Amino acid sequence: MGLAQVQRLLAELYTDPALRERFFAEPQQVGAPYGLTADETHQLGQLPAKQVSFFASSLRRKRLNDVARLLPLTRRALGKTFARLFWRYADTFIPQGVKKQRQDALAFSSFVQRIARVQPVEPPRAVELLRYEAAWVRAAAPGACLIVRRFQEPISSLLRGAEPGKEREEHARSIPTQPTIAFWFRPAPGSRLRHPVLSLPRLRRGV
Amino acid sequence: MWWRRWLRRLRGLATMLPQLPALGVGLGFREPFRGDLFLRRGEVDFLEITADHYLDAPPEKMRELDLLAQHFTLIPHGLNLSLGSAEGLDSSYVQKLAAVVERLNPPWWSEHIAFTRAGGRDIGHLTPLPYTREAIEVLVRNIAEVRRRIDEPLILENISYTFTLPGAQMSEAEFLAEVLERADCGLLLDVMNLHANAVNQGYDAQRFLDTIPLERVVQLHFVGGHWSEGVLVDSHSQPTSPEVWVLLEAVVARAPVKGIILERDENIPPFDELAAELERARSIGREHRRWA
Repeated sequence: MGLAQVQRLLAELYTDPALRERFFAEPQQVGAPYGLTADETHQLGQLPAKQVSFFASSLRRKRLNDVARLLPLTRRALGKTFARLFWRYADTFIPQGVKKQRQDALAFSSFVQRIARVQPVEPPRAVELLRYEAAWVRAAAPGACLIVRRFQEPISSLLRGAEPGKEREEHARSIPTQPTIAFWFRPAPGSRLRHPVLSLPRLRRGV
Repeated sequence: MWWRRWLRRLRGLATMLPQLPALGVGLGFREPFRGDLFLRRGEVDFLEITADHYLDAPPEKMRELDLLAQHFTLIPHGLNLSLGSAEGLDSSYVQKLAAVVERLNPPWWSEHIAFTRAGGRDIGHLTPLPYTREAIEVLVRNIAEVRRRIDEPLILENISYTFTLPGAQMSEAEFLAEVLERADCGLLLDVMNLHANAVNQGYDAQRFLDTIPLERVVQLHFVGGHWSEGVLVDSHSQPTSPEVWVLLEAVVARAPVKGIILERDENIPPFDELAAELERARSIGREHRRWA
């Protein structure tokens, strides 16, 4: 068996649900472009599809857990919506490389923000929280220089909005808008990450 | 240090295994119990760190590593070297991993008998190899390449799997034995993985132990898993089960184990529970004279 070719196909079967479904329906047709012999393709076609799918699901759950660790406040604020959004996102992007968890978190953040522009994501503050946490993830990259983000309210109230519950959301709606700019930077390479926050004059928001 | 490297190459790992230090019982380092770890330093003999967390890491993360190294012997445990990749190693990854291992100067470091990427695609987790001669050649070749860059002794871990790849020319135990002998590596025997594989694949774990070169066992992993859809998953999320304790003791009784790591990743309990499991493993090692 050409191990390199087999591994190439396996890597895609484990991470591409559409390919996996097509392969187990028609292994010879789907396996042919991978340079495997007919016998090799037949053998791989005998893999237990249920167990392969179980393994593939465990890979996606692992990705979800890794991203949730990097975006814990967003996960808490979104509750079950976090996982629902992640499953929608997971097949659109496969992270690669040494810092794939970081890549995954940032790509997921971009995905959710795109979704939020066309349909509501509840609670609304969760998207701002996600932007905040994603900025921290980006700032953790060794080569990161300066990151600047603007928010509609003070960071402290944003973080309070991470608590789930209707009472909290209703309370949060009454907090006046206060444009806030947050910075992340290192004065010198290897120095401690600084995070100054500047809140502009308060503006009243209608309840 | 150069003379140590020369000596290792000349003598081979097998002759050096008995001289590796007995470290005792420790934890896979996880941030949720970082505070307790320093407060209860005396209850943890050594730590295993996930090497990948310190590759391309920010300064704060490297300072954390240095702080841990000041207080504990650290064993780097790699996840994404993909020693089983037929297309070869990622040389940039090897360079970064080598830097972390050299920074820590550990008595050994570990990786897995698995592959994690192929055809430019990162699978995101350890996946099994077919038990074939070709796969053995790939592993031996990749390990030789890593050794040209990293001199510290390498030990290899057995992974868990829920299906066997077709074309097997030998059993998992025979495959493991041949890889260890041909590559001249020590073994990181994950007892939970062994138990899960034995249950899920329907083989006898004790017969597995009879087949592998137990004299090459350097370190163990242990932890509990959970059942999902009829499969025992090594989720690292539960207390160690009675079956895994039995298996662990059987290995410690027969193999010259130098260290045992509790690998609890998920559903992390109060530190008292972790400490209790560590002490139980430590007692087993003491009973079989693996450490004082």
